Formats: sequence, C-alpha cells, structure tokens
Amino acid sequence: MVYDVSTDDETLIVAALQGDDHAWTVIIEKYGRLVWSVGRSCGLSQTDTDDLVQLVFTTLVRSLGRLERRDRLGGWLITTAKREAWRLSKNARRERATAPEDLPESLHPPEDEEETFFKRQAVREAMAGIGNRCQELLQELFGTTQVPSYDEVAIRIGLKPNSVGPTRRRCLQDLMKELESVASDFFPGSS
Amino acid sequence: MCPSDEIRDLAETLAQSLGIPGRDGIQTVIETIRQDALDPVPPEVLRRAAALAVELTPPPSWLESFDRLAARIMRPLFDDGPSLAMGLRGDDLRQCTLGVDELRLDLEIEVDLVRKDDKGRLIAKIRGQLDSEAGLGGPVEVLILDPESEQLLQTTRTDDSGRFDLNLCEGRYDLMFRLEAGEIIMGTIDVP
Repeated sequence: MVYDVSTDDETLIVAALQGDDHAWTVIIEKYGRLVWSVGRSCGLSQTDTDDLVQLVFTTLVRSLGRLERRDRLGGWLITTAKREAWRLSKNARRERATAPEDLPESLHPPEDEEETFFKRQAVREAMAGIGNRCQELLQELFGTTQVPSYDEVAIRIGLKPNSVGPTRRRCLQDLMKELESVASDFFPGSS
Repeated sequence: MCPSDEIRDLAETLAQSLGIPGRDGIQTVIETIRQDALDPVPPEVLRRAAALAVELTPPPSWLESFDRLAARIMRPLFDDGPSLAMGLRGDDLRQCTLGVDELRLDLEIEVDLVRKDDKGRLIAKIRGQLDSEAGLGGPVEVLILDPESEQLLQTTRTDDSGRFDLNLCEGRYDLMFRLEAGEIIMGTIDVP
C-alpha cells in the first residue's frame, strides 16, 4: 500500500507496527515539522531541537503499540514534545526548576499556543492536498518577509507575470477548501 | 510595522479580494508558510528520525523462520553434575547425556574457573558427540539459541563422526541439530 501525509494516522500506525518502514517515514514527514516547531517555540536552540525531535520520535517508536488514541497522534506529539523540551531546557540550564510552572516565559508556551500548533499542522496537511505548482507559488509569495514582485515569482516558478495574480487566487481558494476539510473545527467556513 | 501587523494586513487584503469571511484562516496560512520557510527542519534531523524505523521490527524469532517446526526433544538421560576434574587444576568438569529414540547426545562441559568473560561470567568449553543408530548421514548443523528470546547465538557443524566443540558462557541454552533430512532435534542444557 502507498501512504502519504494525507493517510490517516491510525492506518499509518498499524502499518508501522507491522514493520512497514515507509509508513514510519510518512509519520516523520507528516509530524517532524510539528515537533520541531514545538521545540523552537519553547526557545530551544537548533541543536537542542534536533535532540528533541530524536527523543520524541524514539519515545513514539517505543510507545506506538500502546497508544490509546491513535487518531490523536498530533496531540500526543505536542504534549510529549513540550514535556521533553522542558527537560532538555532544564538540563541545559542546570537550574533548579522542579515543575513546568517554573519555566521562563519563552519556555512555557501559552495555552492558546497549543491551538496554534494544531492550526499550523492543519495548514501543512492542507498544503499537501493541493498541487505542487500551487504549493510552490504560495511558498514563494509568503515564505519570506520581503514580499517578492510578481515578476520575480513568475521567473522563479515559470509562470507568465500576468498569471501570478489569478493563480494565487485559485491556489488560495483550493487551499482554504482543503483546510476546511482537514480541520473544520479550526477553520469553519474558510472557503 | 512589525511582521505580525504586516501578515495581518496582507491576510485582510487577501480575504477581501477572495471574498472569504474573516482573515484568520489566511493569516494562519501565511504565518505557517513563513515560519516553515524561515526556520526549516534540517533534512538530516528527519532522516535520523526516519532511521528509527529499525526499532519497529523486532528481530524475527529464529524458530519462526522454519515453515514447520517438528522438533524431537531430547530428554536428559544422565548427568553427573559439576565435579573437579582429575588433573585439571582450576577446571570443573561435568558430563551429561541427552537422548530421544535412536539419537543420543553426549556432552562434556568443562568450565574454566579462572577465565571469565567481560561480564564476569564463567566460560565453559563444550565437547559434544551426537550419535544415531541409523547414522547421521554426514556433518550436522548445530545451532545455539537463547531459550527466552529464541534468538540464534552461535552456529557450528559436527564433523563426519558427530563431534563438535563450542565455547559458551554460563547460562541456559537450547541446542538444535538439523539433520540431513531436515529433521530437527532439540535439547536444553545448563552451563555449567
């Protein structure tokens, strides 16, 4: 069976437990970025976040058969990543922190940040559901703080300059439809 | 203008031009794409995480690799227990025999009381002789398994007359002999 990031978590977990390496790779592809972003939002350095990713997925690979809610893998990963980020931070700073409440502000993501993790994860999954051309265009347009001109974008991705605007419109509409279908709780009526 | 203001304004403009109620969805889209582009996950981080797949598949049980397992189990017939061997200072010798039907396995387990492995366990030299009234039909494959995990620990072969030598640390082992016709004979030994 061929899996991709649109495959539901339970199917991926069952396949991985049967020793399907590809299913595991898809889990990493789907959620690696999420775990990374939790570490970074907790103020960890790149090196510590690298350690965090390995720790979280090592924990996952060893707990996979015991996960109670296979349909809530994202939530499990966020919780585990936050806990491990706190431990890593504690070790790094060698402070006498004894509870997550002792974390400095930057290491203690606010409650509503959890919702942000879920929303951004939904965007990533929705992005995977639109065409490659659209992904490329939206990344060119929004992936930088210096908003590029349509001419620059057109050259980079091989579009006519006057078609960048209409293509952007269509791609965003497609993305918002996908987003609504992936996470209607967070994005009701977005399209 | 700080980046969040810039994104909010851009999202507002796009939401209006697309006729989408509320700018929150588009704002999240822009923030996500930007964050992922400005702070990408290094590919080697994901590659290392993907390599954890090796932990998914436990090593297969050696016994399960047989299509059919119709082993004849050898029972202990004789065991003189560990005793100091004459003339073997620092050594301990034990002899035992296992058998089933026409097959007989004689073992001499000689423990070196001085030499130990890196975990401090005793090391024993095992000299074995496998005999069959019907003849063995040539050298026989000898396999040493961990009885708990059924993992293969060592392999060797008997010579034409059924003799073989092994070195094992103290512990319990399953000995398997694969005869020429594919038949399997098993026996369990404790070392020393």
